[in-house]
Amino acid sequence: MGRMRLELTRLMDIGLERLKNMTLDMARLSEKTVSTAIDAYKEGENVAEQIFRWSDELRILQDEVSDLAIEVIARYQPVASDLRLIKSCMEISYGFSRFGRYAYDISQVLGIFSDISLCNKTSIEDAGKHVKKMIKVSINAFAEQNIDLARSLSKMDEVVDKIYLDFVKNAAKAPDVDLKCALSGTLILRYLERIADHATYIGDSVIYIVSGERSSRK
Amino acid sequence: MRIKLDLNELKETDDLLTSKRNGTAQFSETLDKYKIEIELLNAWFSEKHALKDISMNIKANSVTAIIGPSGCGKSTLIRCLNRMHELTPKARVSGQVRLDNEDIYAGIDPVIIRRKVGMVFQKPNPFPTMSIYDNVVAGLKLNGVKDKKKLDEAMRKSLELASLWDEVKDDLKLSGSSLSGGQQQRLCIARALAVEPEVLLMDEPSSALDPIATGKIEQLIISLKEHYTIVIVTHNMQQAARIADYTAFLYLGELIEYGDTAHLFENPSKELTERYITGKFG
Amino acid sequence: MSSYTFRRFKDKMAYVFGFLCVLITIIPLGSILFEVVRNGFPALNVEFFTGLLGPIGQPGGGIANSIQGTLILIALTSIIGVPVGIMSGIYLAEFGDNRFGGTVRFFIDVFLGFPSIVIGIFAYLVIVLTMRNFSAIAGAFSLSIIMLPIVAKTTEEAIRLVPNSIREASMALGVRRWRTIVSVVLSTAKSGIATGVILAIARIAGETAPLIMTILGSQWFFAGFDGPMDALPLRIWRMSLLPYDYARQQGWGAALILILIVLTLNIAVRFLTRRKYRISM
Repeated sequence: MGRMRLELTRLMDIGLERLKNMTLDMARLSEKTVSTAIDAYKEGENVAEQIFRWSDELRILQDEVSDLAIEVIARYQPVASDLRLIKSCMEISYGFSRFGRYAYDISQVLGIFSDISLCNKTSIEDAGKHVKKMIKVSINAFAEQNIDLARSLSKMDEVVDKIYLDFVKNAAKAPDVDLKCALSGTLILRYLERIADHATYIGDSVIYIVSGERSSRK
Repeated sequence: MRIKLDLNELKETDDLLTSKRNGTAQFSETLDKYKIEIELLNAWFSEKHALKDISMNIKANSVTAIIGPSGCGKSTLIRCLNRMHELTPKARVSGQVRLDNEDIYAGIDPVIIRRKVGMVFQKPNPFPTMSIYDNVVAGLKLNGVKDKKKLDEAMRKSLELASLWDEVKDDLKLSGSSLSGGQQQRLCIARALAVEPEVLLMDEPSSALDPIATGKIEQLIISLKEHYTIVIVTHNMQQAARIADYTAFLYLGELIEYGDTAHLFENPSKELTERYITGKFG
Repeated sequence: MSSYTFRRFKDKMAYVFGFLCVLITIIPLGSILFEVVRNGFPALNVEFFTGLLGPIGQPGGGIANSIQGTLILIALTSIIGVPVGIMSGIYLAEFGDNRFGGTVRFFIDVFLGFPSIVIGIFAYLVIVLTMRNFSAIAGAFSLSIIMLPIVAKTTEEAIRLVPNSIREASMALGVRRWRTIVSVVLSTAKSGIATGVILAIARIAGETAPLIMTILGSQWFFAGFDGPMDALPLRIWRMSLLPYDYARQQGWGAALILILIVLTLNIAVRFLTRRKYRISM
């Protein structure tokens, strides 16, 4: 029935599959969490409680990934690409849990600044679109172990950085700035910029799995 | 490599270490010289071509491990380093093996080479009719050394180097075969060290031993590399990963990859190496 | 009965059968020994050990010269046969994995079962006729032809039993080949070799046919290598055929002595080649 597998399944493969799947589960959940937070900001909805629950779930999942990674190392003495995969899953799952944390922070902004419906949200929407795209790319890079996708993330990160810096500079220079808008915008762009950074780190980890190279952090 | 396997360094105090770093002592690490240079080595068992164009250089005072699946030529390779391969009937060798820059196959008496390059085998093989004392000094006695004082000194020094002195010092007259497996292997190591070689070849030295004895042998190997160059064949990759500074991967008689152990086990350059060490074949 | 019970029964039967076979083997050997001791013991007295063969028909006298003769023959034969036999065995074991070695082995196997009377006749033709006399030399010559293949074969086997790992260990220490063979291999094989030598000695000590054709027999003590001499097997044979009771009794006595000599040699060699070091802590 079906083709004989050319290579034997190793005992370790069971653990590695679970590790990958758990990380991918975290990936999808964190994507959902960030998207919801960004959209909620645009619409002015209060989704803090929902985001909090998801963020907490991500934290718990990250602990589980970490524990599973340690177990695989202790039991199977992995080397080479297996070892790099495990190390990267630990780093990447941390990245996804940060997504959740920043999404939570974004959702909190509405609570702090009660009414920001009149603020100019263009920059934030722009950055939000890029960040959503970066998250998708980083998840695909990990799922497909695609090194080109991973490398494309640093360019995209530069775009987000620029949006953030420009907004802050304008807010600092503008003579008649609305403090609420400036502060809330800065905060949210700051969180988005951090999410983008972590997405690039995820890309770096994928590059490490595939080629063993380390990229220098900015 | 990030972990420097040097037990002696761990025992030294801080200021001693500092003085070493200031250059008043030499780290073996900085001596960038090769003890053994292997160039285009080929070996045959009658018609079977067991080693194909092997070229690699072995650093002095290091532990070099040779790994690979069964039948890949690992034992043949180290047996070519002390000219034991030619003892097999219909065995042939071509190429160069340079020990301290001198080709060991170019007209030198193989007996001299074997005194400089010692060997320890997989199954401990102490001489059954000799006592522990006689076993250790066998290499000296059988080569004509008669001075009892010299023999006593050599015996004590070798047994201490092999971490066996304390366990047998009161029972030197016992038969060599009365020791446990791990002790017998250390006895064989002491025996090899007594003739004061420069290189020690070890052919799967702990594969016949239990994990505790294996651990002792591994610690011993790391402490020995301060004075000797060690080449170890092992089918246990984790052992190579634990104790070797450099690792060579052999497959079907060819050298596939050779380099720093940490690098080879974290990110091997060759696909075949990757597949072997992750257990996808072999 | 159930198949299990039947199988147990078969098992038991096989065991009993084997035991009975062993008994059948031992009983004749045991009874021979018993008879020899029973019949030979009464013949033992001081005169028996020190006296010479007296006139036939007259009780008294002894087998002193026969004992002496047998011991001299054993010594002489061993001087020729043991070194040559051991060297051949060493050669065959260490260097004999070729056509030549195979041929030599074949001849050794042939000679192992060769009729000793033929060897006796050969020695008669070659030595006795040439020297125009029966002699110890002729006797030792014929006995060493019998001894050689036994020693060579058992030595070869004992040396082959030495594991190759021992040889390799020695060579890896930088010890030369010949030194390895002499000091390590031989020393490990020595009890096997000694067993072979004892076997050979026991065999030749009792060979009678060659002695008839080569040393003739004598009433007197050993008188030189080039003249006839006596030995125990000859004496046993001749005494047992005489019609006198005293003679037959002396024959049994001689047989007892012969067995005792071989037994003593056995014990002595085993003692000398024992492992000198304690085995356990």
